[in-house]
Amino acid sequence: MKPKTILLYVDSSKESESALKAALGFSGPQVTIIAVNVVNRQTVIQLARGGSKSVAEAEVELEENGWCYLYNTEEIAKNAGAQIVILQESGYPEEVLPRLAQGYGADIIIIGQPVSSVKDVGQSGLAQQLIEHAACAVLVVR
Amino acid sequence: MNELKLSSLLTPKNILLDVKEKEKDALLAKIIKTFSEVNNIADPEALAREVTEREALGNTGIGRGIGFPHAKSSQVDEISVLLARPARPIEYGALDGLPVNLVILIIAPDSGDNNQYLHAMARISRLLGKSEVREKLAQVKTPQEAIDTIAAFEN
Repeated sequence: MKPKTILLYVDSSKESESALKAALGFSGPQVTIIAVNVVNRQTVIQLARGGSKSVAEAEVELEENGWCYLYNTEEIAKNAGAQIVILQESGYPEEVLPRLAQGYGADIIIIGQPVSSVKDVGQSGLAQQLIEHAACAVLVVR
Repeated sequence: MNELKLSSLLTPKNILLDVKEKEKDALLAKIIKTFSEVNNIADPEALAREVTEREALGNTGIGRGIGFPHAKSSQVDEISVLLARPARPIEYGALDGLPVNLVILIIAPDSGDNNQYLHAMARISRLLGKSEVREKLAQVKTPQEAIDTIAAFEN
């Protein structure tokens, strides 16, 4: 069955672009892509611990970069004639994505993951956590 | 890359406070009309079409009471904006279900620097995502006060 609501995880990775292509493959007049970027609290803390930035500066950087990825994704999708809305959340992707998927009645979550992470799907990582916790289908694209 | 600041794009002419329109379509029409007048747009109807066609492919309510319609157009030579504050919150169809208290229209040249456009929108989204900025903008009484408020948060 073709999904009507797709939750697409957007980040800086090349695999995220592949995930967008996969989402566009499902797109049609009745299909909405909800593109989500998560300002990952763990990444904020890691950046701040690196010493070159304060927590506030790290947040600003991640928020702004995240919006850039979202607007870029939106532009590509709209140029392809796809229906898309974008949003940014703070937290941990493994918690935020299942919650949003349930809240918006998503039929599928699509994420991009590097090849090594896909191999590790059975062990750990975002993909595995989504598969365990999401109430809908999860498509992992490399 | 030079960081494009919202305050540098605003003048008292491209800020509308306490707009009376009560529905999203009417509000957008008012915003586009004023934008076209301020920026001497040759074909305002074409610009309206460009904005509404993009809007039809995805609501530009980015949450927290912000509407952010945007498009690229051959009718501007540089990134241009218009900030509007409705007199009352307007149902906008945003994903978070919240009505909109602030709308910012951004139009970029269709042949311009795409990175600059994306970064400008990212900066504006982040800035207006701050509750303290929205609270201050809800209280300003003049367009110049709105510019000063935004400049203070950007600096």
